[in-house]
Amino acid sequence: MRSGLAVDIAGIKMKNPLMTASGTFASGREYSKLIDISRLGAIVVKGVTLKEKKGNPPPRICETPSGILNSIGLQNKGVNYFVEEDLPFLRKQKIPVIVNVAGSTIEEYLGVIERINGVHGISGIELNISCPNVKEGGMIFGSDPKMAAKIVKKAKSVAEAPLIVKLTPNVMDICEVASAVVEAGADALSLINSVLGMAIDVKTFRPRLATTLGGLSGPAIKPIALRMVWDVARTVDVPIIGMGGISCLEDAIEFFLAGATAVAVGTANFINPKITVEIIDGLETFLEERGMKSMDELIGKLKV
Amino acid sequence: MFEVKAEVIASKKITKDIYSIKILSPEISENAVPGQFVHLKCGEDKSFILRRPFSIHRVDGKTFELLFEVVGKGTRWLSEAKSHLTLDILGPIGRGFSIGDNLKSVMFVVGGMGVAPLVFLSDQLIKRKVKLYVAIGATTKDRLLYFMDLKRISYKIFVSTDDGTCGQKGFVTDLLNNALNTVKPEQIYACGPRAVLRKTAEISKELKIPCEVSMVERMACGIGACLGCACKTKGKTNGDFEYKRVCVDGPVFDAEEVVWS
Ligand SMILES: Cc1cc2nc3c(=O)[nH]c(=O)nc-3n(C[C@H](O)[C@H](O)[C@H](O)COP(=O)(O)OP(=O)(O)OC[C@H]3O[C@@H](n4cnc5c(N)ncnc54)[C@H](O)[C@@H]3O)c2cc1C
Ligand SMILES: Cc1cc2nc3c(=O)[nH]c(=O)nc-3n(C[C@H](O)[C@H](O)[C@H](O)COP(=O)(O)O)c2cc1C
Ligand code: FES
Repeated sequence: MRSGLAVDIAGIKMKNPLMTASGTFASGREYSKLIDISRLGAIVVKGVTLKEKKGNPPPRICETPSGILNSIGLQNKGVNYFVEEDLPFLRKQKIPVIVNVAGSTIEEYLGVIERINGVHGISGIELNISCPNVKEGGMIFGSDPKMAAKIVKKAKSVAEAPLIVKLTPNVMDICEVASAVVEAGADALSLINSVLGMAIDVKTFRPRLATTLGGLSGPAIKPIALRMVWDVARTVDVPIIGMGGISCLEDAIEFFLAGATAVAVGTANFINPKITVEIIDGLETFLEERGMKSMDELIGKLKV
Repeated sequence: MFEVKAEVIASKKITKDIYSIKILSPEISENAVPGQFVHLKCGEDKSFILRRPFSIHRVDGKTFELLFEVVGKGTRWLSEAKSHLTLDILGPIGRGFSIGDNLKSVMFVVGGMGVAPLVFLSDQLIKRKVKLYVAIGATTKDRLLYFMDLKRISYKIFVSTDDGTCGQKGFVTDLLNNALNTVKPEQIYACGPRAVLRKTAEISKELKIPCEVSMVERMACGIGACLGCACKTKGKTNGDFEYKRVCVDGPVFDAEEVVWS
């Protein structure tokens, strides 16, 4: 146990602050062929809905300068499949598992939460009210502070595990939404989800994604994500999981300095599957070299 | 599947914008089957660029080859890769072509760059003494890659070019019906543009010849985690469908399984 790197997110005890960003790591099985996933601080699984969701037509991926657009559309086999088929594998890793919960109605979100309540091996819930790739639900809940508060309040009243709320950057004032959901009972916040964007093929005059719009992720969104983490960290008093474009140790440290208690890596896994464990190793050395005893000496320590 | 740092042994320009590159990696070479691909990091360390997928074109002992066309910045970078350069590669990945135990004769349907994985497949079929027929098409004569090699090893070869500079003028699928009147393969393997695969699937279904197609889709992770590379396939019940992952459920699919619309 590397106690110097240990952090606590609303009671979820992690041996280090490195997590995977939902939807980029499935349920860990694929990446476990390339890295020791038990080294992660926690794993956040792909968005789970009550019933199977087929997802959007292809093409679903498009590379843009320093980023990618995706329009997966929450493809997943439903919460029962997750609990029965994916969770047994995850339990064996002996690290906290956080379930990204999605839906198109409030009832659907609550149904997923009820199904995973009390299930052994689930340490937390990440309420996804920020997916830009579905017509109903998702980002629509997360872009209106009143709506967001309403769904968080209901979710909190049924959830047995700590409730992390994942915020969308596609809003006028992210602090307003953050305050509203914390007031409604969020135990922690995750930010940011992908930034709504598009790309056009000038040869064919067609959009590059079948859905026209998609979510931008990767280094291109890092400055936006960092600014939002910084703003939200000064506004609310719950732990923040920072994400958006993190692809190396220095990127992760920037998020800690801005006020994130933990960070999640998404798109960067696609290029370097070992990036999460490399950042964990790098972070340990970074603290040692500076004689820092714990993450507290880094988190929110930006000098302005 | 492995992540390896592998050395470029040789690289060569085949014709305008088409290159082959030979890479030393016992892990990938000794474990690969025809139809599988590698996911390769293009560009320098700090540049943000997704990995690019390339079919395994040929395997020889501890080395394997790729055959690729320069179409953008990733393939441009790869075309400039010199001997001794170290590449970061994931592979071998995916479901390859299935070769039935008592297979006696097969036909390749090749469109353009689709020849890449079929050369590896042909090496294995020849070893097993399977009779090979080839229907090959390209935009123009210079783009009929490996034409002479395929001609040498095949029992009969049918050729088309879009501009008529070699063989029949038109698409490779235009000559397929006629070709299948003269020869009767037990199995068809198709690789090339989607339109070629689709038409080949139609014809093989009509003639009740089993057919496998190698699908192409935009990829991010390349290992089955992101669900970016969706291919629409038939679901469990009639009329239902399911998006499968080209990277690990494919890239080779049974032609009957794919929903083409
Ligand atoms: C399983 C698989 C096997 C492949 N095998 C080969 C091969 O053996 N030889 C070969 O030359 N090419 C192969 N391709 C296509 C190859 O991956 C693309 O040409 C390459 O990714 C383009 O990269 P780029 O940076 O040069 O082009 P970009 O700048 O990214 O794009 C230029 C153009 O390339 C095309 N393209 C980009 N990415 C893909 C992709 N993932 N699939 C198909 N087309 C794409 C698009 O039409 C785009 O307009 C394969 C693709 C797949 C999915
Ligand atoms: C392919 C892909 C799928 C994603 N799926 C989900 C998802 O199911 N649920 C969710 O909350 N976020 C999802 N996201 C958003 C990421 O979790 C993350 O918030 C975002 O990509 C920013 O981080 P990054 O730049 O490190 O990727 C997805 C992102 C990508 C690229
Ligand atoms: S490319 Fe990620 S699942 Fe196929």
